Formats: sequence, C-alpha cells, structure tokens
Amino acid sequence: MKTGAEERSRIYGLLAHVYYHEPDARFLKSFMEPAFLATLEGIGIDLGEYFRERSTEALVEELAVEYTRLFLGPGKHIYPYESAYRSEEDPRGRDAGGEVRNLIQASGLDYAPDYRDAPDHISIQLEFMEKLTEAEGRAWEHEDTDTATGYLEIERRFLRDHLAQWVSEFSERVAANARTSLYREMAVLTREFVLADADAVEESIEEVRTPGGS
Amino acid sequence: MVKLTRRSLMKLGVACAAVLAGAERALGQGLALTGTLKLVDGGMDFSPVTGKERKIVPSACWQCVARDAILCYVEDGKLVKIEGNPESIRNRGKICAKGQAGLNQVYDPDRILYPMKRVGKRGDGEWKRVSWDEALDEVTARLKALLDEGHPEKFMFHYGRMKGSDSKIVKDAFLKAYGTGTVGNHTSICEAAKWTAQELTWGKHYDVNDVEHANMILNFGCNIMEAHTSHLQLSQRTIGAVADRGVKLVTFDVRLSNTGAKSDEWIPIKPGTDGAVILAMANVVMDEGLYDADFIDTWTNVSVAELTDHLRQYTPEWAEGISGVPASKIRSLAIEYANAKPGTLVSYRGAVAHYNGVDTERAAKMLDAILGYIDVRGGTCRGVGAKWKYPKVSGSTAKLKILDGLEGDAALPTHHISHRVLDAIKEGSHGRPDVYMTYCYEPVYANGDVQENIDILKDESLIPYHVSINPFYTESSALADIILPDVTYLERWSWDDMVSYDMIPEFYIRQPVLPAPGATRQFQDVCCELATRLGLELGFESAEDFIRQSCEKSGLDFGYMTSHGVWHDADAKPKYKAYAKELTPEDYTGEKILFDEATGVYWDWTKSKAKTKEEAEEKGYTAMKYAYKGYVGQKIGDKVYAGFKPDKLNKSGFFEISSDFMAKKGFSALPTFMAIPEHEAMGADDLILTTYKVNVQIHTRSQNCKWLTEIYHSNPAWINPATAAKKGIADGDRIRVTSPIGEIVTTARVTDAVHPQVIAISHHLGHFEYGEFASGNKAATGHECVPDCHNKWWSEVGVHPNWIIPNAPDPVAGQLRFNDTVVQVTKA
Ligand code: SF4
Repeated sequence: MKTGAEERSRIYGLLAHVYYHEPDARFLKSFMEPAFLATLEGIGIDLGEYFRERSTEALVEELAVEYTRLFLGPGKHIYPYESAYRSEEDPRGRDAGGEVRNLIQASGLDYAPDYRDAPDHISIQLEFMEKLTEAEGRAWEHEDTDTATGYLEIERRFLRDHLAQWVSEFSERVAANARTSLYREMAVLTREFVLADADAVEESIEEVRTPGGS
Repeated sequence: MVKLTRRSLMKLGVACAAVLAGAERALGQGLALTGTLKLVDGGMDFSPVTGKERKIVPSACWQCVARDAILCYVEDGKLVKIEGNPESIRNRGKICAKGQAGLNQVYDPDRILYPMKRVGKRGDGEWKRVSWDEALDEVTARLKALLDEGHPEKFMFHYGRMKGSDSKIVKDAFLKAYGTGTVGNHTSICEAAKWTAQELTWGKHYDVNDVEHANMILNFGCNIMEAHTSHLQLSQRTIGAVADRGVKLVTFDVRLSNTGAKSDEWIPIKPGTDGAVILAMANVVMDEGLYDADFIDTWTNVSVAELTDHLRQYTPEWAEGISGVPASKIRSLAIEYANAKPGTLVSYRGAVAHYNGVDTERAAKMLDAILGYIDVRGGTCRGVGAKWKYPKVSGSTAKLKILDGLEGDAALPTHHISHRVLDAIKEGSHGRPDVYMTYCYEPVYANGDVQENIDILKDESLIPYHVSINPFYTESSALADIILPDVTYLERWSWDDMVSYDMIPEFYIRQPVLPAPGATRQFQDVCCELATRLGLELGFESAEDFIRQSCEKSGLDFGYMTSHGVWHDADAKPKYKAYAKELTPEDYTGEKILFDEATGVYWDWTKSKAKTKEEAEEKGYTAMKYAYKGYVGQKIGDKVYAGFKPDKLNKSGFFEISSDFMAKKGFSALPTFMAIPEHEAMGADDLILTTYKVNVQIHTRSQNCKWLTEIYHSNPAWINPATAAKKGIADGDRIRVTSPIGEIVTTARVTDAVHPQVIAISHHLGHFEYGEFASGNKAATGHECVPDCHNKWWSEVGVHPNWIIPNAPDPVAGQLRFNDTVVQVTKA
C-alpha cells in the first residue's frame, strides 16, 4: 500500500516553512521558479502577477511586513496557535499547547533548544505532520506495514484531535486578512490540503485494516 | 477552486521538495523540531484533564480468577486508571467493574504495610510492628526445626488463589525443595465437583464453551454475565452471540440472575435437580435418534444400545416431577438443542455445588458428547492455555493426610477438600501441622460454618503457629501469630496461563505497576529469601528473575512481554479436536512405553510410581499409581490417537461416559440422578438456601474496595411472594434464617425472581474484619486513607450466609455444597 506519504511530507514541509517565519531570499527564489508556480496553478492556486512584478529584495521586505502584521502584531493580529481556537469546555483543547507538546515528545521528537514560541504553533503542527508522513513513507519503502500503520494512527490522532480541528478557522482568517497573494493562497492550500489529508488518512487506515486490502 | 486529486498532490509534493531543497532546507531536516521519531508501542498517554504524561504498564488483573490482560495508567507515580489490554485475544480490551476498581486494592486505607507480630492472646487484635529480619528469623527457626526433626510435612501451606508462576515458585520450587507436600488449596469451595466430573469423563479439567460459534447455548446454573471463572471471555462472547447472531440462550436457575434476564428464556428449577433435566434431555436425544452415532461408537466407552437402555428411565415426565420443569419444555429444548449443530452447555456452581454435583456435570458432558458437540467449533471444548517453560527444582515431599478432610468425606476428591482441613486438624488422627501458613486463603470467611473455623484457628493447642501472608487484615489474618505483608497484584511479578476462548494459547505476564509500598514484599521473593536462609537451592533469585528465565525458556522476549503484556502466535489455528490427532509409531514405541491390553492405552511407565518395568507391567495402567502421568495415546481400531488425555486418574483415552472409578466406589458407572437427602427430608415450610454472586464483587477479597462496596453493600434475602405471604413476611421485613448449625438475621426482599422453595442470599458481604468499607471497622493495622475514603455515605455491611452453611462435602468430589442447606425462615 502506498499513501503518497513522501509527497505529503513535502507539502507539509513547505507549508510549515511558510508559517515558520518571514521568507528569506533563498526560499523566495526557489518558490518563484516558474515550474513551481505552474504546478500550483494546476491545482487552482494562482499567485497572480504578484511575484512577477517585484524584485526578490522588495518581496523579502514586503512579505516580512505582511508576516508580522498577520501573525505577530503588535496590535490586532491572527493567533497562529491552536489554543486560541479551542473552547474552554473542550477537554482536548483546554490545554492544546500541553497536549501537542506531550504528543510530540511522546513520539520521540522535541522542540529545538532555540525554539521559543508556543508549543501549538501552526508551523510546529505542520512540521510534526511532515515528520510523521516522512517516517511513514520510509516504512512503506521497507514494506513494514506495521510501522507504517503505526505512524498513520498517530497522524490520524493528531489530525483529528488537533490540526484538523482548527485549521479551517485559522486559514479562513488568514485568507480574509492577507494583503498578499502568497499568504492568501497558501492559507487556502493549507486548509484544503489538511482537510483532504485527514480524510485520506482515515481511508488508508480502513484499507490496511480490511483483510485482503493491499 | 482548489482541486486536489491524488495525482495532483503527487505532483505538488515533488514540486515542494524542489522548493524546500532550494531553500536549503535539507529534506527531513526540521525547522523547530529535533530528534528522531520512534513509535512507542503502548506505554504512553496523557491525562485529558491535567495534560500530564501517563505511563502505561501492561499487566494482568487478579481481582477475580479470570485474570484478564490490563493496561495500568500511572500519572505522577500514582495509579489513576485501569483498562483492558486490546492486544489480548482473551478479554479483547475489556475489563469489568472489579478490574477497574483494582486501584482500590492498591490504595486500600487498611493495607498492612509492615510485618506484624501478635502480642497478647491469638485473636485479641494486639500487634507489634517488626522488621522483616525479625519476622523471617522467627519463621525460619520454626521451619528449620521441622527440617532438623525430619518432619517437613508438618509445615502446612494453604493457599486460596495461587496460579501461574506464583504457584510454580511457591509450590513446585520452594515447598518442594523444603520437602512438604502438605499443601492445601481451596477448589472444594469453588467448583471441585465440576472438575472431578471432567477428570472422570474427558480427562484434564476445564471446559471452554465456544459460545462465539455455537448455535444454541444451554445454561445450567451459571451466572455468565456476572461471575463465571472466565467471566469476561465468556460473557462478552455470549452477549455477542445473542445480540449479533440471535443465538438462543436458555438459562435454568433457581433465581432470575442478570444472566437469566439476558436470556431468551429463564426457566426456574428446583435446586439440585439440573441433573434430572439434563438426563431427560439425553433421553429425548436417544429416543428421537438425534445422537451422533459416530462419536459415541468411536470415542466413548459406551455403545448406543447401552446408553439408550440406561437413559430410558429418565423421561421428561420423570424429570418434571423432580425439577418442576415442564416435560414438554424439556422435550422441545432437547430437540432444538440436538438440531442446533453445534450447541454448548454451560454449567456452574448453581448446578454443581450440590450433593449430586459430580453426576450433574457428568450428565452435562454426556449430553454434549452424544450430540458430537465435544471439542468442535461452537461446541464444548477442553481449555487451551499457555504452556510456559520455567526453572524446575527437584526433590521429594512428604505430606500429612489431612488435605482430603475426614475419613469417608468423599470417594474421589481429586481437588482435595479444603473446607474440611481445619476439621481434620482438629480430629488429629493424621497428625497436625506445627506451622500453618495461609496465602491468599481466607479459611474463616470463605468456608462454611464460620464459627467452627474461628474456634479451630484460634486454638493454639490445635494450631501452634499460624503465619498469614496477606496484604490485608482479614478475619483469618486476625487469627495469625505473624502476618507477612504481601503486595497486591498490581505490585507483582508473575506469568499466567488462563485458558483462551479463542482456543489459541495466550502467554501473558503481570508486572509491578507501582513499587511495593511500605515494607510489603511479594511473597515469592520472600520464598527466595527463606530458601537461602534454610540452605535450599531454587535456581532463581526473585520472582522477576523467575519470569525472565521463564520467558527465555519459552522463547519469549522479556522486553516484548513487559511492553505488551501479552503474546500469542499470530499464525496459530484454534486447537479443536485435539483428541483426534493420530500418533505416529515413533510417538508410542520405545523402551519406556508399554501397551495396556485392558484399556488400549500406551503409556510411559517411568513417569508413574513404578520402580521397575516389571512392576508396571504386572499392575497394569489402571492400577499403577500415577500411571496417567505417562499416558501417551489411545488405540482405537488399528490406529493410535491422542485421545482424551487423563489427569489425576488413570483413565483411558476414551471419553468415558461410563466410569469404572465411580462403579468401584459404589456409585453408578453411568451418570444418574442422585436425590439430595436433606431435600428429600425437608418439611413443607422449609426452604433451600442458595448463594450467588453479583457483578461488582468477588466472594471474599473485594469488599474493602471502596468503589465496589459503594455500589454493592446490601444483600437482602430474596424470597418469592407466594412463600413470603404464607410466612407473613413483607418486603423489607427483618427475617431470621435458621439452619441446622445456626441462624442469621437479615432483611427480606420479596420478589418473583426466585423459586418459591428458595431463599437466595449473595455471598460477598458481612465481613467483620478487613477494613472500613468491608466491615465498618478500621483494621487493627489501619493507617491514613486516601482522600476519597472519607466520602463514605453508607453504613451497611450486609450479612454473610456462610455462618449457617455447614461445611458439608459432596460424596464424590468433596465439593462444599453451597446450595443445599435446608433452612427455616421466620419473621424476626
Ligand atoms: S473479569 Fe473483571 S475482575 Fe475478573 S479478571 Fe477480568 S477484569 Fe479482572
């Protein structure tokens, strides 16, 4: 069985990168490669003329401002943390930060020593999925169904209990508030991809569990 | 519109990889996360409330004898929750209320945490804390003296529940090395009659009702949904069969138990007459020609003609006269059951804890045999459990002849008569133990005739030294000279081997979830120290070491077992019809193997007590002591089969519907109905006392579990409205129940859910020691309790029926006749 885990991992990685910090010149350069933009267009993500009109330096500057305005403040901004989207009554959301950290640490990973932000940041969550799917892909490669399924189970749990719980609301807010096509379109992609992936993970688990499934 | 298809995602993924590479983010290298992902198989979870990490320790339940696989959740060093282990093929992730309340055993406010030595008279309740050194110096000195005298058998070890490695370490290693065979158990208060009957019939005891694949379930006197010895394995499969497949479940019981309530039909039956109904069903099967002639001819030791002849007398009309079950019902159920192909007959203490228990069980197995329902998928099968290999100790033992009670108590007590041991000690003609050590055994409370047990155990001239191994201060440990505080099952190392209803053996272990509190020590570790002190060689250092060595010998990875708790061979097939396995000549030829003409049994004489081959040949298989241990196979026609392997008796490899052992002891060779003398003689107003269990308590050792006793702390006596009216008793009245040995006063619960000739009192409640929740008294050893303890809003402790149940054994197996006592009931 193959779930396209490796490819999923790269998409998660890219999205994690987008939300982690302001884009630097190197990232923007490879992001702006026509081939990549064309691929995005192929799935309905159109960044428009935006990239073509500006120099890299200008873009770095402009996007840094946009990133700060959207996610950091000061003043009104969008919280990129799960806990901001979960209700007090929701036992799983009450301490989303603690829960996410526990899950991540339980899986053998840890936050980098210089990471200072909250444990339930959108970028952390996407990166966690990147790592999980990557490990899953490796397991498939070794035809180790048990291990692959093990990762699928964690993916499912994490998506169900966390990422998929709040990704819509978060992305919609970003899309609505973004002034640049990059964040607007990436927000759309984030939402569509994560939700589709959550379904796909459920299906994959069903499939491995069904005797005779391949 | 964003359109994500599998294909487009693949493409996007590849493209993203290029972007990431360009961004000099090496693939797989993180931004904010470090470390390597690893799958942790079980063992990690987080509290939904506090978010704290919970350690999960797989282990095994011990609240009841079913011993299910569990997962224990520990948060901040405290046990916070117990769940079923989903990896287990036995309990399949489920546990019952008792299992969940295991926490209460650990945090029992009345636990004994230090060795205690009696000061003052035995039973006065005055104790002094001593060190382990002091305690073991004293015990060792006593045991050493017996060794020096050459009388190791004067050390009697009496256990209640001791299974798996716990038993192997104590019994097969320590006690064997010491040299005592005066080792008592407590099966006679459980279901000895059932086991003896099975040994007479199909050999090694323990039946598994394969209800999951059966097409009909007949239940005689078993409270499947609340209390069977394999409770959760059987109950969940029964519920599955009934609910998912619409399998018919018919329950014969003197009481409408929760099992009766969940059955298609509850058929009230007069106590002790189940055997009559079963015989009548067998009669119908023969009469209607519904039997499996092939099974009878090939595998049993009787012919169709013999059976038909014998069963002719047991007509449904005859059974109706005895049991009160309508003949038409017996007939129609018999036919339906015969056509179910297969069905399975469940029987338990309701049917077997009687004067005639052995023959009732023999009849039950006969009915399934003549229908060909033995050891087939969906039928009645012989249990399959894990066969652990473990370190062995050699040695020979001597024993006092007090394990089978008094002379003439029972003809074939293959599981001993534990409830008569104190009587045998009192009587004294076969000697008395100098040291009486009890382990997980509550002679005072669990046997009948409580007062007599107290009197004997208290008498220092009869029992000079009583050592109680106990985590709790029970009625029996109150009468000890020294108490060695054991750990609870949640702080223990053992392996276990309960049968599996999937007919595939499951290996599983119990491991400490928490460190042992106070100075408590697992008794198996204490045995290792005692052995060292006595200069005995056991070959292992501790219980943990024993488990490690057993894993190694059994080809199991210790690390796997501690992280998963359970293991079974995923490729194994269910072991049905093991008896039909054909042996090859290599299996049954060789120097040591003899062929016994009389029975057709091949056997290895060196495993018997025979000193020479000549002796073995001369005496023959049936007469040679312990010959069954060398059983190899059974010749049938010109082939040799595995057959029905014997245990405890030198039975042939046939399914022995007709038993020479019974005949030789003056009973009927074929299963018959033995009327119960006391019931024959009872007056018109007398009632029969029945005891039963509920789903949230075990018999003796769960009542100080707060959660359980909070649910169940009151046990009024069930009495039928018609009976109550005759006696002028109304619901809630205080009533006096009088038996030949005493009386108790309790409350009446007037209900249609009980047979008019019966008074039913559960046996769990009515402790007078053990602790705050069980008896209302804090134990003499009691200490500060956990916070929840203070929320005790009830004051009842219930009434213990065993005060008025005599310690009467059934004449064949010696089973305590828990459900035979004739009583008078009046308004108090
Ligand atoms: S039936 Fe309940 S008490 Fe018995 S072993 Fe299973 S969980 Fe424990």
